[in-house]
Amino acid sequence: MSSQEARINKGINGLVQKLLVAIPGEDPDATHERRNNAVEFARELLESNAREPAIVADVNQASDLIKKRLIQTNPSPEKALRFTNLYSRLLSIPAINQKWAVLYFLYQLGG
Amino acid sequence: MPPAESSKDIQQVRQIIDVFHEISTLLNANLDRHTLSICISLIENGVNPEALATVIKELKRDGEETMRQVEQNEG
Repeated sequence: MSSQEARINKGINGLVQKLLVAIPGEDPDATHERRNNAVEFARELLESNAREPAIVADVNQASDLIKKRLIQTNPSPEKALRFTNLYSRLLSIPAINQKWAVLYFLYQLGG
Repeated sequence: MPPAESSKDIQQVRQIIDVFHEISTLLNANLDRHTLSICISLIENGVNPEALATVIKELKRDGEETMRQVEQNEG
């Protein structure tokens, strides 16, 4: 297993750990099975879309999508302005390569 | 003490997570900082952002469903 795959597996397990709801008094084996099912589901979905070319591979396009939504879903322009400031701060910090993809992920998740 | 270079990197990554966390709040994506940093790491390692959003939505929906059942059983 490559180090990238190891990091992805670690990430998937971390997500399931965070989002799996505990059932009081549940049999540990049942909990274990629920966790495995959730990890398997996540891995299959991410792998089946792994080669999918990203729809938006441009940080500006992802930012335009977000700005448009903030303008459309809020009566005042305040949130869109706040995002514009955050976006320029984001571009000024050299860390993280896939900024466009994280923006697009948040855009999809917030939809 | 880690070499100056890596502590600067850590600080920058922390700043970026702060910015993305505020953006996720603006978008009502409802992600805590830890879950968000796991997602950023996954995306940095090549995971498709749209597929990851689908996974998060499904895991959350499953969690809400489980919570409803727990409350019904306790009711």
